[in-house]
Amino acid sequence: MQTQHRPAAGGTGDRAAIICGIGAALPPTVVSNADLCARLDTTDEWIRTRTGISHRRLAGADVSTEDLAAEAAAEALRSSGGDRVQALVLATTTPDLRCPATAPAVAARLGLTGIPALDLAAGCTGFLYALATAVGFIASRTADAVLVIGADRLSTLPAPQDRSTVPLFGDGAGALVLRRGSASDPGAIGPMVLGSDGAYNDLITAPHKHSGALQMQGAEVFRHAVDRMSAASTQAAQAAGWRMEDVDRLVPHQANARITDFVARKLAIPHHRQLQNIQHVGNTGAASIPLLLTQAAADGQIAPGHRLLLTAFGAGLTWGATTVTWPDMTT
Amino acid sequence: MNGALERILLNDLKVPADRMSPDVGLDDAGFDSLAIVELSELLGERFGIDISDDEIKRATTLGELDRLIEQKQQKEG
Repeated sequence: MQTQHRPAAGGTGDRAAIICGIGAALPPTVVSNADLCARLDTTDEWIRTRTGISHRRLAGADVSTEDLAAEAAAEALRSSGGDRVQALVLATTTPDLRCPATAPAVAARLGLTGIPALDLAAGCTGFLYALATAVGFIASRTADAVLVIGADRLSTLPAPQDRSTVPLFGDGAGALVLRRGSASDPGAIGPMVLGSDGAYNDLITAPHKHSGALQMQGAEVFRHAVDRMSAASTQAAQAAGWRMEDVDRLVPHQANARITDFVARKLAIPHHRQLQNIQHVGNTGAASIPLLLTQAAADGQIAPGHRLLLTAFGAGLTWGATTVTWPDMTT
Repeated sequence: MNGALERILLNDLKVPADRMSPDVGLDDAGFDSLAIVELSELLGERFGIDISDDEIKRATTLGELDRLIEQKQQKEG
């Protein structure tokens, strides 16, 4: 038996949440499949055919989640034209410490000491949960502008010799700035569909450091990811009053190219309308959607007026989807 | 081979046409663990055939898989 949260409008009246800034950060170290083959019992073909990944970017010991988050957030603030934000939400599964949260340190690094700042964990769906939280901050008059960040160093989770999970993950961060506006403005976050099902929490687990490594039941995860993302996407599109053929770009969490291809096919969204960057960055967890948006906006794959359908799935299980019409802004 | 299976193997799972033979093993046709889930989902979605991952894995060749799907179709039809 399960229930799914009824989609709520993404902010109402003059307190809708509008995207007005975007940015991303990737660590400098590029690791190819060939590099991994030198230390793992695997092949380039095995990795590419099962995941779609050929490269990923790794942070190494000298780049923290805070570093990645702060860099992406600074870029998003610059692209928003220097909008002042009054709250910061950071989605991450890999905070630098168990305590304190990473978000206040990110805020302090950006010169935003004093604003509310929190970490939020919802696996690879974290960014959509953070977006919903930011929409709520604006609707409830807690803030008129919010910085929403997804940052993860998922490469720290697998056992170093686990050939089935090490190749999947990359590190990175992405961020959006949301401002208060009208629900009819371009860039307004649409109705949010979010859900979770803890009965399947054992499908993806990562115990704390020193007590074990990430475990994932790939085939079952695949099935749930496809079903949950397609259902959430359908629900979010319907709540926004869109037909699937209205969607200009599907922006799925980059879990695995075969999962996102399957979701797109199930939704009858043609391949050329599906954004994909997993080839170059791997699965970057909560960073994945804002990182994909930033890169796609920069290279012209998304343009002002495009109707985007965002969807994600992750450990928990958690899942979600929402819609947005891409605004005209500097990237 | 059954049209349902053949179409999915060729168009969706990208099994090379020269391996589409009843005596070809699932491994040799390029089936990995995700392909088994993909096939199970696609058969359910497009043809209403309820087939588990384990049932697919027990079929050692495409021919056996074909027979299994035909039986399921007859039972459910």
